[in-house]
Amino acid sequence: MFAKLKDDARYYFALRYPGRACTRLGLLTTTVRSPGMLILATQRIGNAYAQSRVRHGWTPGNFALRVMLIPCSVLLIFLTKSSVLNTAGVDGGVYLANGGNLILGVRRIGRGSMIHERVTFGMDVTTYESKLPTIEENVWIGPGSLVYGAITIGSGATILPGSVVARSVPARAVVSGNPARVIARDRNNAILRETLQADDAHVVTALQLGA
Amino acid sequence: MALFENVRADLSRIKAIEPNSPVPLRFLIGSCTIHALLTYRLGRALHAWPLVLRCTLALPLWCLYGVLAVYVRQGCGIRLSIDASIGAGFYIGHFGGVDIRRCSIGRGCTIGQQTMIGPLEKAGATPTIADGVWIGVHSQIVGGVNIGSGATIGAGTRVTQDVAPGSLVMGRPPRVIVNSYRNTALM
Repeated sequence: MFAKLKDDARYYFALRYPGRACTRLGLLTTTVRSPGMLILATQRIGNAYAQSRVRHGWTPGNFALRVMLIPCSVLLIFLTKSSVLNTAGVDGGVYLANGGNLILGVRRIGRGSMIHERVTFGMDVTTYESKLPTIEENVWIGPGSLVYGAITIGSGATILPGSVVARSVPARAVVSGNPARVIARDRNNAILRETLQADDAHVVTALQLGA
Repeated sequence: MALFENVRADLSRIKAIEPNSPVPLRFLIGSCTIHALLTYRLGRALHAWPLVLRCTLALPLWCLYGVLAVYVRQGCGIRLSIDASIGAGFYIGHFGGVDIRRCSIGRGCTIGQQTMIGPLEKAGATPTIADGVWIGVHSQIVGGVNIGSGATIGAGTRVTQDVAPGSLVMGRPPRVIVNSYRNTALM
């Protein structure tokens, strides 16, 4: 858990101060000043609790964790208006938006993924089966996007701002629109994942969509 | 009183949708959506009282509403304006980014997070939503549109034209996918 959080802190540090050497003090200040880290930390504690609860049942330690999680999640709602499913497997080195407003009911979020503000992941309400999306590694998800159903977002895929995705996205594809369609294939989103910029002009140049 | 009837209808609606949740406990902790709805109902009831009464007898209640409204707006990100007329049995799926301004919503409607319902400008025409409408997450209903009873607005839709009763509207730009869609399973 702490190793994963350290990875997260490194990612946040690199985004906040691009090109600067990563010190221990820098990691600490980044952690304290990033609301997104708060979401991740709460999720990781919740995940540890959920796993331990499945494995060992109601032990005193689990009970204490459960009690501790209640004020944590209330604080999280107050500060960031976000909630992430406890059972989700979130890898280390993930960026969740500092702006918050994230409702993430998700099965897995892969390493190096970047999720911007006002994003919702969830199940498909027409079937009401709790089938949740899986986000693989290095996925960039723009602000205001919605991903639902038992689908997989392939590694290195890019979801442009404001998309509504209900079908699986192949690896390294770029999807956009509502309903989302693949508008480009085999694009590298590494430039997008290096900064916090998410405006249209930046996205178009970073993914070379104009040509 | 209309306030208590509305609140009872809201709570029974929540109980019907989430049968496993202990409703009395969720009053206290955890459920921002119930806090938001109760605050709105209180404000709406006070709003209907005469001004003289509001400035004297009901002043403490009015202050309580003010404090609760700030908590709900800032803490939960749910903004239910008292200019909006919301029918009994309203259900907010999730906290975060709900913004309901001056409009008229019928009985037994459901909305999700990141939704916006209201006029385009402050003094513009307001949306009218009939009974039993399901409004998906991330959707926007702006301007003077009429939404018929039992209609379903899909996720991420920005509705700017009238929607016929019982139809399913989805996509951007919005399209009618099904003319007679039964949304009782979603409710």
